[in-house]
Amino acid sequence: MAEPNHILVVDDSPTQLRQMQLVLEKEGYSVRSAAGGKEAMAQIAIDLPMLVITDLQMPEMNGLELVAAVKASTPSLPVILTTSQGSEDVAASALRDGASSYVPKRDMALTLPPVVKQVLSLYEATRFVREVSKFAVESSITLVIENDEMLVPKVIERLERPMVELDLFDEGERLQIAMALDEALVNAIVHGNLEVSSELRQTEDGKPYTDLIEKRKTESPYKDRRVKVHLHASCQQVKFVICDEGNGFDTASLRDPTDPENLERAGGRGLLLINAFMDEVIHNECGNEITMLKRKQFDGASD
Amino acid sequence: MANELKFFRVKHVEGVPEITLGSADFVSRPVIVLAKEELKEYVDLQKPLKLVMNFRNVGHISSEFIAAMIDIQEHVVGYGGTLKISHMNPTVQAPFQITNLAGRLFMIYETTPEAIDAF
Repeated sequence: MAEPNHILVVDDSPTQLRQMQLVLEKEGYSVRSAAGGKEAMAQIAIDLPMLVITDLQMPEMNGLELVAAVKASTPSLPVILTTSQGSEDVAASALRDGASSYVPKRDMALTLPPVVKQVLSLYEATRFVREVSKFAVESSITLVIENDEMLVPKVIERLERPMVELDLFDEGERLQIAMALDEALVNAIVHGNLEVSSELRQTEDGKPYTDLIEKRKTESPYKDRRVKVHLHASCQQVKFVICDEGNGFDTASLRDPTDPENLERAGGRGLLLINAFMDEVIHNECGNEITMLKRKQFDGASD
Repeated sequence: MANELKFFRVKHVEGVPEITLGSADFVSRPVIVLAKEELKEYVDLQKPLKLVMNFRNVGHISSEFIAAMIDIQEHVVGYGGTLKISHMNPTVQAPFQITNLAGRLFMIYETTPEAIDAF
């Protein structure tokens, strides 16, 4: 397939489309246009652009939905949103959902060219990685992380990359895996390394729970402990091993959170979700290491 | 009050307050803690007898968020109210079902009018 060489601009307003087209053509880019999200997705399927620039507010499929659809079908394709005044909050949310950048419509002629240049230079820098990823059959990565829960979303994002490259799961399955990873990583940090029990969440509106977490992040031996995360992915499955340096726990000691008597109690639900979302879950004897396996479902698979 | 809220928007549908959660993914503990505090503060002020929480914008949750929801639900019940949930997508609903909470502690409906009809 030829390397993409055009920019696709999407807007339901012909005037705005023409304006964007003029700004970009003046900079020497080849530009094509679509009058809406659905038309854009159809064009992307036929002839992949190197960049999509879309309006936020459009009928049928809006800019946010288009970002989501592009990220689901072609994760490496960058998308820039153009926004009207007052929609910065929505644009910020789109950035979290995978948009590369956003440009206010009011300064389009001035601000669009440098943003496009910046996004495309990043796209170009990762082109080699994308081309090679077509040939990937196996991938491994090991991360050693500090006891900072704020790192967890970034760690999950990094762990998702090999699964996307190997085309292992659909978006829904990846979301479930992300949830299981989130539970396992937070368990390893909070309950494993920091030794803070989830039972504390039920005391005084959970304040002692959050206070103890923050306190232990600064105290030895808790603060010196790390969580080791290992991923090994092949074209058939992905395996995660998450190990903390705490004292471990006895999984059999957990109450059944689905028992009506325990429904309102804290604790145990994370492990239940992990078991539900993964195909196989194994704990080591000490209880400070969890191994989670998820297999690719091939067409016609019985389970 | 509605303008001061950071994680939710409140509007009234058929006289029932509908709280629509923002588009954040409720997985990070600080976000969950702040969101829970904000909602409990709203409940303390308004003491709603009927309340619908609209999950339309929520794409991702964690077990900690489920625990926060249980806390909020108990808070509403503490004032003699009833909480119902609407517009929860299947990915978010799955953890509630797996943990046996859907249909027991939380009544989940496809739309807000359906949730309101069920009060």
